[in-house]
Amino acid sequence: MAQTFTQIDNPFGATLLVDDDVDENAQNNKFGPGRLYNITFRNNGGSAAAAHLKLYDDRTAAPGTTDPHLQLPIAADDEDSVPLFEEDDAGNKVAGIPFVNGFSYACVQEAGTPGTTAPADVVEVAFLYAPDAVS
Amino acid sequence: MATSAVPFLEKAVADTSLVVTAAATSVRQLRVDNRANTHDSFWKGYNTASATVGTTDPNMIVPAKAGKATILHSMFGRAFGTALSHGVVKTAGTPGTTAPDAGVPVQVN
Repeated sequence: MAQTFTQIDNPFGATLLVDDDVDENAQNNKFGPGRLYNITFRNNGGSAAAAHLKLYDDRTAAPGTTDPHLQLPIAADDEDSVPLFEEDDAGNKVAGIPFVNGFSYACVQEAGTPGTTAPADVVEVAFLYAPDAVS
Repeated sequence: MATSAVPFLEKAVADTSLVVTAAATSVRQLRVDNRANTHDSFWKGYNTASATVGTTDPNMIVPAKAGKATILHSMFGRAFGTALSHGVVKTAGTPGTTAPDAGVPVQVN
């Protein structure tokens, strides 16, 4: 798999991470603590098999064992863009949700914690992430 | 494609699975309001109308930090091909049956 990191300047101060083939192998500690603004993905291989994209608030995740903090189901021939936001008690809204320990990810067919079966098709994913923007 | 879930607001989701719909659906917007709690919570959406929180593998998981609400938008909807039920507990992933200290309001569209 190939990963491309593109720095995006202010106001976000974020990095766009594009991974052209996310599979059952954990991509560990791609970022330190920070905020995840957006996930965009594509699964256009034509297989009927669904997949699950799993994000871990952990520097060293092991798919099949580590509990995913955020998980999205991906259907066959599916693509989507998923922005994330957070709101506090005062009603203040900010873009992104925090990962306080680190940012790791993988994609397998199975839902939930278990499962290490690779997706049937190539799953491409882009993350927009702002390291160190935890608050 | 399954239709989007009807607007659904449950005022206190916790460790007992609640059925949103027994039909196939998709989630286009989700708001998990953990602002009443001082601990992190995890919303778990199950692709079945008969889920057991802590045992059934969730189809979708969304975290909400202590004192915060998480809002997620899906442009094309995240599919639940069989049904949608949900619960909220303190643990990520599949396991965990510890209810949040205060029930978590959840809005699904």
